[in-house]
Amino acid sequence: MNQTGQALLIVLLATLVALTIGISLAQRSISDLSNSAKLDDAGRALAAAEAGLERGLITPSNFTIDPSVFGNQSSANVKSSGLVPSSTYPGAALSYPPIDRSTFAQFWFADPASPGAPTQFYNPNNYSFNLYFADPTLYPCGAGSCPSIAITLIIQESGSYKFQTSLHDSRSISSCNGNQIPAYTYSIDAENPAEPLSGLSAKKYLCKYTISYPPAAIPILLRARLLISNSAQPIAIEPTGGASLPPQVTILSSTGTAGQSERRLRLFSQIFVEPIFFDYAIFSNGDILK
Amino acid sequence: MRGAAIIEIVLVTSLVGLMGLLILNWPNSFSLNQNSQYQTLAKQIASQKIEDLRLQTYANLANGETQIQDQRLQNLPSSAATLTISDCPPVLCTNQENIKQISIVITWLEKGSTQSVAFNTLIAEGGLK
Repeated sequence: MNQTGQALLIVLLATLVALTIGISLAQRSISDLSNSAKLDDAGRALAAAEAGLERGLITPSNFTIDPSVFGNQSSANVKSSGLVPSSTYPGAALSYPPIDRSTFAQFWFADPASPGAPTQFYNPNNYSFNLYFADPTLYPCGAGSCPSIAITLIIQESGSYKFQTSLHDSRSISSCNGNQIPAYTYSIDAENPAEPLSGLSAKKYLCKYTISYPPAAIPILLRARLLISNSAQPIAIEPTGGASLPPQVTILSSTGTAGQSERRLRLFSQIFVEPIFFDYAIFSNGDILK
Repeated sequence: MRGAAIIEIVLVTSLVGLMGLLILNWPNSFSLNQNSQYQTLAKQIASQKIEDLRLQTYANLANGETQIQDQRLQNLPSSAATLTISDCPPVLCTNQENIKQISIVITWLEKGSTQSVAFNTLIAEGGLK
């Protein structure tokens, strides 16, 4: 029996197996090293991006941290909206980053920067504003996926602070048709990093409600909390009646770079966010007695 | 069968050579893996230290150089971890804002040469938490 070809085949197969193992080992090592280098770059890029936000929080402006500052080949490019809404765009709406049921959105109507008690800023001729909320892609809203929202408007009327609370459901056909577009909106959108910071963008919401308050009242603050919804939803307030919202938010975008890595952070920073449990202390004209 | 024997000898010689090559490369592969593990560990220690510093009150960020104490540093051969806190560089903080520059350098010895990971960032008063 001629067995010469069999030996050759066995040797070739053994060689192939050994070669495959060897190459895979080498490949794994190179891959690990490459990943490690990328992790290092990513860490330095993230640290640089955070540095940019820290600096931007103190003085909201556009600036660059060049590599010479840190000396480890990392840099950051920071863009800031400044304090908005600003007089550049009178009547602009303000959109909060999407919130879930665990937190709330807060909008100032009085000037939060005024010393002492907040002074009136929002003063429309129709004593109302527009409330927008929810993702427009939820339309038409099914029973299980329809978010509802509870809002509390704090107003000052006849020297007293009052709380005006209302609930708004997204199953209203007339108010929630998924095509509600504020004229222009200051907003932050983590999924759309190309969105301009200082400019305005038209955004769609599922619902639009007009909220009114007594003509003699001074609107101070609004808090909105999501009910029922299982996912985070956007919320926006649009001024009406020729009025504007007071400056209250700084939107920062910081892009850190190191090697081949880039990390972009966006920050929605609001001045004077008051937790709910302080309401009775802050919005009380009399002493608090134990 | 003479021709077949020659082929077998050539193939066996090649196989032995290939195996030798693999065995010679094994330490290099091992070394690359270890280097990767060390770098990842150093980065984790540096990142966590930065997060810890952000949680501190700004007043506790005193200028100076200190050694970082972290048990995981024992896993890096002949390691040293230095934290340097200084005022924000004037070129960046033109109005002497309350911002500190944080620099963390972790070094270790690997095959006779010093390896390092260096992270730099800023922490501002009332900044990120």
